[in-house]
Amino acid sequence: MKTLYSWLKDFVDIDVPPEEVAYKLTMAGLEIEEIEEIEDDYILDVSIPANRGDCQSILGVAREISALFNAPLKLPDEPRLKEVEEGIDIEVASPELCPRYTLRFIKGVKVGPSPDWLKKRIESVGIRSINNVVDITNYVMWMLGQPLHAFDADKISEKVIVRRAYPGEKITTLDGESRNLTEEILVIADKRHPIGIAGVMGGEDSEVSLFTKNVALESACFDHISTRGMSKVLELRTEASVRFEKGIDINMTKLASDIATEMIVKLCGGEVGKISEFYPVEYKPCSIRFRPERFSKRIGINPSYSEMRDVFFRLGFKVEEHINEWRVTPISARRDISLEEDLYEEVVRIIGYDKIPSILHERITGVVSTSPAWEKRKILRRKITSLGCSEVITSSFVPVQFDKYFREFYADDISSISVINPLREEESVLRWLLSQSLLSLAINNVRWGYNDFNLFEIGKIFFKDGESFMEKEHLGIVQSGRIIYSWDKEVNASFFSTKGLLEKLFKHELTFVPAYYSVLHPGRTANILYRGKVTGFIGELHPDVARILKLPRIYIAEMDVDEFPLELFSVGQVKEPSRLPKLKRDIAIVVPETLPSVEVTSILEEVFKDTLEDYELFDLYKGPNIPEGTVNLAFSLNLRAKDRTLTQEEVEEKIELLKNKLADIGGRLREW
Amino acid sequence: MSSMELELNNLRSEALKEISSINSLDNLREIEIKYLGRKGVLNQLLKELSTAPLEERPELGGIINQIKLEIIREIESKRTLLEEREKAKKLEEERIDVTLPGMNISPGRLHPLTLIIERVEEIFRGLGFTVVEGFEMETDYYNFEALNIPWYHPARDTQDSFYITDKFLLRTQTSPVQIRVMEKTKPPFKIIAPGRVYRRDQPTARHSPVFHQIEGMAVDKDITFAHLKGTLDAFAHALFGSDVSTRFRADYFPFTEPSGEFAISCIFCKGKGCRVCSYSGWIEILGCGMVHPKVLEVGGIDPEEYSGFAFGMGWDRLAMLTYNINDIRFFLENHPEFLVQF
Repeated sequence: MKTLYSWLKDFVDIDVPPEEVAYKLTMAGLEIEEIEEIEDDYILDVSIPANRGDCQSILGVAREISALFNAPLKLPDEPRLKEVEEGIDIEVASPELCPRYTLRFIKGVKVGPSPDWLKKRIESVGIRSINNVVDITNYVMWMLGQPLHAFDADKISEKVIVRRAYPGEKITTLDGESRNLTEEILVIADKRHPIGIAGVMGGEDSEVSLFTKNVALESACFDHISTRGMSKVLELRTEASVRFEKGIDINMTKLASDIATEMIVKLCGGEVGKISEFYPVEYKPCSIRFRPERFSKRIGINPSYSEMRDVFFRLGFKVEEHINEWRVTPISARRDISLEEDLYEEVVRIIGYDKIPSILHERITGVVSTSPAWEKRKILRRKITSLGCSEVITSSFVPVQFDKYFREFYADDISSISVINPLREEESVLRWLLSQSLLSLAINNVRWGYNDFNLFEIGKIFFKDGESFMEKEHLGIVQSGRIIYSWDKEVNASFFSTKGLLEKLFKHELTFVPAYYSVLHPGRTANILYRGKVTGFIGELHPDVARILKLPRIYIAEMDVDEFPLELFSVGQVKEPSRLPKLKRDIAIVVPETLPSVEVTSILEEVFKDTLEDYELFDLYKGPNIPEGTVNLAFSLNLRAKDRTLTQEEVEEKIELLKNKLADIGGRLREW
Repeated sequence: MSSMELELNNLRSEALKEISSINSLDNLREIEIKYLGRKGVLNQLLKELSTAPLEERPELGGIINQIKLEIIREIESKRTLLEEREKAKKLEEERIDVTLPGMNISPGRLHPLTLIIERVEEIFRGLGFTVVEGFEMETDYYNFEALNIPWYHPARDTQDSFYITDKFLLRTQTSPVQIRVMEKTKPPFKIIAPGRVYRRDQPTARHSPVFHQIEGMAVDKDITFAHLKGTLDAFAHALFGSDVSTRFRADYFPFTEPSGEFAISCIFCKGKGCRVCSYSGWIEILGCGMVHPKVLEVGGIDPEEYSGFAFGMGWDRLAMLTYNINDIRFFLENHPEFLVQF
């Protein structure tokens, strides 16, 4: 809200540069975004927190300055008005939405342009000058925080009724918009129809124009909650509605009306008519308990009683002191103060936050342990980056075109989740797999000219399982192009480069089973099982999909990290290293090429049992030297017994056994 | 000199001549065989010695052996020479251009948001905090109501939400974690809760509809605002250096009372005033305050017995400040040229 420095000084007696005022206000919670110098004055733009309805006026800001600088506040005098016997009847049909309503009749005004001083003042704070009557209502609103509305009294039929709109009623507001009204809208109506939307905007019909002779000046207090609701429904926010929403001082309503009335007859002529008022229950602020001891225990400072008392006096609050417990009564404008803690804030705000010492709380409070998911993510991140894969963090929204991608990962009754009110229709779907995000990123990378990438993301995915909304943590990997390269050799991304990462991360506890995903290559896709359960998948993007998305060969893998216990990733039981010699044995096995290699390796593991420390498939050969339809798998075995040196005879025995087992699956050992 | 002696002399000079003219190890081996082999010239001569007169045999034998030794010596020294030459040749052939580029093995890099949170986590762990996490899909209750933000509260205006149903939404702040922790945990505790949040804001350089926050909370019997200041001062000094100044000023949040805003002296202009700090010399880092008594009550904690502080900061914003990045959208865009710098 823009304020004028000279205008503030009308209400508070200070003699300091505006920068000092701005600094103190900012530190006390009213941030001054800008000081603008104009002619012989300054404009201070005050940003008002949501709870400080009382500061939405020159008087309110002046009151803060008065408290901060301990300078006297000059409240406006109550005008003495000479009334004539003429008025307009009012009826408040919805008192729950309108605790106070006043309507002043002013007879025989001359509507015209405002005097220069008035025009200059309101224009400097950003209000457009319309005519003298309307300008006065705006001027007083800005000054005192009480929204006012002037009706052309001759357009009001019989009396003014404050009521909820009837279904189907319509009104054309001052902005020229025709608006359909519902029962949740509070209107100001005459005998025939609505003439204004309460607390938001007046109607066009009853607008004060150059032809207006008699004025009905409304000053009222409308419920902050309903005003906010109406403003939302109507998508209409005005200076008035903003003030009602944050809450105005209900005890200012009549005074503001009187001050405006006095100005109108002074500047526009005319006679003061009667004021009709509805104010059944006068608002009196309640006293609040304040315990100085508890204040010190919560804030960590010990101001003297007189210092604290002084703060409340400066704010205009009343203080009753009892032993250990005070009763403090705020002023009626401060509707934000209802709890003891609210009073604490007032004290520290005025004393200054800088007076509070800075102390570390040293007590150990390790009751909550760090989330295992967090630890797991850290370990995974460290491991996978050490394998050359780089991290990305992408948005949770995925392009709508990828909505049903990788559908086969989930059971049929699982669906993706969309937001009801997206910013853009194409970004309404929450990802149910990271692969969707990574595919989208791959497209960008290629478009930017980067065809080599090796990326991972660890993040949340979302889906709906029956009626429950689920979120889980996944790991996604996408690889493409060259992974390691130089001018003389290169390693390209492949199904196996991606698979290798997973094997390293998940310690070879995974099983890969051929699977079908419509967007993946039919011959190069697998579901990944952990302890018999599908926990992920891996595959090459289907060439048809790749072509449509203008992508090269892309390899994708995704794992449901939540399914893996933290222990899998941390250091397990440490084995003592063996000093016995390793026996290295290379073997070649010829099997039908349709046989999955896992059948062979499981035989190796079965035959050599725990003497097989590890093994490596170092060559795979198909070609002229072996029968058609077969494949030659060359393994390098590392054999070692835990407790003795393995003998050549023992190994040969096992090799014989291996030969028999291989024969069972149609394979044979190839002699060197 | 007998004819035999003469012959031997010729043989010797011929052999030495031959050896000295040899240029390859293969040829040298041939010569070796020719003279020194089992059926070589010298062995042949020794055999033929039996035909020589008896009294000449010792002398001739001596000469032959001497020649043999001489040839061996010559061959060996020639071999060493040739081997050295060959080795040198091979090394020369293996010469590479050391100015050619090395192999491109890219390190796996962490995302800048991860680098920041690891630092933040380390600092708060050192101050006795642990890390907890919450849900990104929350109910209106946890995201707003429980945090003292009823439906009509003006604070909702600045937190326009993405709704999934009329009750579920994407959390607009990490603060719901406060409620979830209090519901499950008896004080004392100190936690930070980093996570992703969502607000229905048009993407700009300063705002992203998907961004991240770090929530913090400490509850115990004797926690004061002074402890909040101490904790945040320690954090700011650890993250931005001990030479930054810090500042608290009053602010408003529905779920803390008293509330404050925490700022550090501008790290770019050292507080002199620049574009980043809008010429104020200060950069706002976070909002904080003492946990509102109503919020403690909602969490099942008696505000007469316990007190606590809470704070919430923009995680992306911390990264922007740390790395002097001007556009928040870079983080989720993941442009390779951006990421490669971390």
